[in-house]
Amino acid sequence: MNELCALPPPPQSRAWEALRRLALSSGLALVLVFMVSVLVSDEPLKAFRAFSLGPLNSARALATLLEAAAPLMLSATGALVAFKAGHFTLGGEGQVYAGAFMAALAGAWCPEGSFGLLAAVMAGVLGGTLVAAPAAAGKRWAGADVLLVTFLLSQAALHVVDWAISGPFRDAGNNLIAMDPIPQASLLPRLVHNLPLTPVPLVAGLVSVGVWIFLSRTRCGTMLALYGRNSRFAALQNFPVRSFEWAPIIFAGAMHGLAGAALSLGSNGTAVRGISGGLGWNAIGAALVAGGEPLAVVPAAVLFSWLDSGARQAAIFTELPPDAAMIIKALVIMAATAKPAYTRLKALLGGRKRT
Amino acid sequence: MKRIVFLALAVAGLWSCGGTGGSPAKPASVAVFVPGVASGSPIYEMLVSGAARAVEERPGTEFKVIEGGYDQSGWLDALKAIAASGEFDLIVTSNPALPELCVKVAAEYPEVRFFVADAYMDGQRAIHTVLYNQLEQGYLVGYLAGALSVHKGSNRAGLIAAQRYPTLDRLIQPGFEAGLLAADPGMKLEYREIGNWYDANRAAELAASLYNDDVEVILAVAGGAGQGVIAAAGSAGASVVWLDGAGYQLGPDVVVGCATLAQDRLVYERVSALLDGKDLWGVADIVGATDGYVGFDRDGPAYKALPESLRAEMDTVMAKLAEGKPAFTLDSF
Repeated sequence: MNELCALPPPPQSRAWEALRRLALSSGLALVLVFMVSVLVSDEPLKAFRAFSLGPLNSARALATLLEAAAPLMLSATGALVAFKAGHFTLGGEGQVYAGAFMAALAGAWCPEGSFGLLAAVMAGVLGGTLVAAPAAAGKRWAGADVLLVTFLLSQAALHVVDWAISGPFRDAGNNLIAMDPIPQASLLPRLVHNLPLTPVPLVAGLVSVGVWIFLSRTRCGTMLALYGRNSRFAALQNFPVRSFEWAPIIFAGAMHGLAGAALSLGSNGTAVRGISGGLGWNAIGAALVAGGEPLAVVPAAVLFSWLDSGARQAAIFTELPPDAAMIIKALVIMAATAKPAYTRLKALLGGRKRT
Repeated sequence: MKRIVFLALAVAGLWSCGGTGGSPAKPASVAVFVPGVASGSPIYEMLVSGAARAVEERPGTEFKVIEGGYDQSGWLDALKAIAASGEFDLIVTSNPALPELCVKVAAEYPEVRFFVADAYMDGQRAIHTVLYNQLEQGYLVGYLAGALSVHKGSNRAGLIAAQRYPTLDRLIQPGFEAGLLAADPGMKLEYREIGNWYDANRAAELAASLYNDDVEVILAVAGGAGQGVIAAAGSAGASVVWLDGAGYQLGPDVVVGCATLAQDRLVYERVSALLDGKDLWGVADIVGATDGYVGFDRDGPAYKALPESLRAEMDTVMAKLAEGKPAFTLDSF
């Protein structure tokens, strides 16, 4: 019996709260899609239908939606763990890009087949981890500001990888700015013939479940969450705060790197310049919409992927701009995260009234 | 609860009364995918107009233009979205980078067919491509750049490119160098690279440094960034040669020559043939000056202002090239 005796019981699962938040976010997204359709398109009903149902109109479209959501699930799970520990990491974009680059490099260079695939996945994880490592080390040994350092490192990584893909590692025979193609045998296998569905959504789901078990069913996870809420309290309770200072940042980097590897090893077949495409930023949004609940990351990522895919479909049939999804996502994130601000404002106003 | 049920019913009602779903029976439907933005890009404007003309002549055929923007990493997803919509039988596009992406989409959507102009890929049953012999295009502007440089007392010409890519490395630049040397065997080429297709400021810096170093004529292969080369030429009182036509509109005083591609004609002819059921799938063609698809625009004000002797020389070069002299034979790419 030790300091853990002093711990409160593990917190109740916040699944219901997360579900409510997701339902509200999805409902809000639908309302916003309709409003944007009415405001921007000459054929609002057609735009709304294409936006909302287009990504679901066939098994292949559905598989494409899930496949696109999977890297976001991985990244958002990583970001969520870092946020739980109180580390507001903004380095996801660079970590994803580095992961994609490293995976493409290893995939093209290693012997093709299962070994090449495994090596590429590991290299992707390593790529994301390497970009996250200086921030983790800075936090652990120098008390660095994680938010600032991860952001700056990410920006540097974006430039370096950009240069590498378009320069020394570029496939000279390709008119696209991309690296050498990864051999077919080293790419992610398809689960179903003729459907663009790889094991990545399954892996991402399992990672979310694993993180949920860790955070809500293990002592270490409970300690991590308490550390994230109050690091001084955690230190007083002799929690392993030294590990909590860096490990969640590294985990987030690894998950972002894994997401990057999924991009390169999927239908892209290599790392194309700009392949991260805002995934690191979307991961923050998905983690926020999930409200700190790992299991909710899966539907949150699907919601984001549906918005992206729906906007593309609507743009095909109507005058709706493909960027409409960005605006809607921003509004959904703002709405989903507005509750703490609302509560704080209410408390402030209540306090003033009392005085 | 009542509110939720009402909202659900309302949403279901809206879904059901839309009108884009399913696959209504129709003769054919064509999507034109522009890997960039059509407006301001002559090659893509011709792509759209050529396809539109072919579709207009076939009543009942549906037609839609979809712009993919400049971010290459988004093109694959955009193409997939078009195929996934289930609404289009034929996707028409133009860019050397597109065939590889079309192959990936075709693997997932085997019922969709692709025609890619300005590109080369043979043996893919879902794809028909036609490549312009851009050796000839480079040769025409190279000859003019060489002759004008010599006329102005310089023995160097510049080439400012957005980035390295196979069509530039294997067709445009060798053709341009061949043209320079045909005009004067003592001509030398100065190559500079911007790094992207949009940074006009960087292009202007590179061009200014070349013009300050006794270069009189630069070929810009830089998309939107080429505006920077035109601006620098205006400041230096120097000249620019251009590919793909319409350069005269961008810089009427400094663009002295424009090679042209008959993209609208090519797209019209091939889309018409494909819609009429001609089996061109898996075929990769190469067209050039002898067929009239590669040429030179004589109508620019700066070109008309060139000395008569130079223009007469160019007329001779164009006439010979149309006869296949010199022969830039391309059997594959």
